[in-house]
Amino acid sequence: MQEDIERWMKELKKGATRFSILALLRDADKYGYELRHEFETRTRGVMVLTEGNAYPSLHSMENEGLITSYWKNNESGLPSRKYYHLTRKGEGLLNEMILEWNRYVDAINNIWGPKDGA
Amino acid sequence: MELSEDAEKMMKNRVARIMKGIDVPDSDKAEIKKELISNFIDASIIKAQARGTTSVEASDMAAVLESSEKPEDTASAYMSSYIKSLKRAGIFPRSIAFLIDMLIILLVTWLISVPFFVPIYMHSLPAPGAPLSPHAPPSFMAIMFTQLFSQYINIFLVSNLVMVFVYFVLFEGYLGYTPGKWLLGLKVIGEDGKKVDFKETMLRSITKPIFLMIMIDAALMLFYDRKDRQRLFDRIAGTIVIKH
Repeated sequence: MQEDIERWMKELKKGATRFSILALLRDADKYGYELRHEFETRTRGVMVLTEGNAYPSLHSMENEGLITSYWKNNESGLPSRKYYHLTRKGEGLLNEMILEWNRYVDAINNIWGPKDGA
Repeated sequence: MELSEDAEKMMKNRVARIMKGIDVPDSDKAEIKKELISNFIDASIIKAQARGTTSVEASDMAAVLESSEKPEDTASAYMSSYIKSLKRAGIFPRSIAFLIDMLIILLVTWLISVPFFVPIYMHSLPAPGAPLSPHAPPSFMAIMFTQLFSQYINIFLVSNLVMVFVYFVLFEGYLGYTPGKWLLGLKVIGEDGKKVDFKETMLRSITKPIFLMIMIDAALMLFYDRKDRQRLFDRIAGTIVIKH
């Protein structure tokens, strides 16, 4: 049972990774760990972005032109950080995703019905 | 912000372990490494700040590494994303490359065989000045060399099959491509994105010496795995051919 739930949640989270990264970049350019940290704190630890989740996704999104990146020097003693920036194309995709996501959640809520749904 | 020597050592060790499993072009490698280093340092700073300090100790780094995933998992996640970004070569450029390779092999084996053929051929001719009667019994030498000649043809055919196999295994095993593939910008890599080894190249080359077999093997690629673009023996060996 627990195993089934975990497998199901893993699939659900996988689909949300790219979506969430785009959403987090909407307010400002962010660097890798900042994205991971914010992801975890905003979801109160329900969702975690591991290194293997975050960075390869960022790189493939960059290849697709959804985001761009640049290196920026920081406080003294710290190595430079790679910042990611949402492109117009990425923003367009994000808006579409939000629309679809809301439609999906509504649809699923209609299946739950008034008994189980919020 | 300060990073203790022990913390730095631990971090570098972890990054090296991840990098060991990442086989991508060198420029990408450097970029990935740099980003991973900054990732672990940033994460450990948060731990240090939680203790109310800005100097990162070994314990902070240990906590970060403890909660992060296994280095092999990180590496394989990078690799699978890298694989998806590669363009797989279709049957057309691959067939052209194969024909070029076969021509090269034919030419080389022919060149090697010339010094053997010439004396055999010369000796099988009647001796100069001998009567050209069709009833004249063939000389002992002529019979011997005719025998030798037919033996040689057999050896030549077999060695040619071996040569085809060895050619593909050696070139692909060492470089990842044959001269034919190089001309068409193709390269053989593992399904996991890593360089192919000799075991894999042997498996994937097994059908190549016999034309009918490689035809069937390649035809299966069209019927079953159109998207994967793998021959049956690519699939068995766990290899793919990419175009760059």
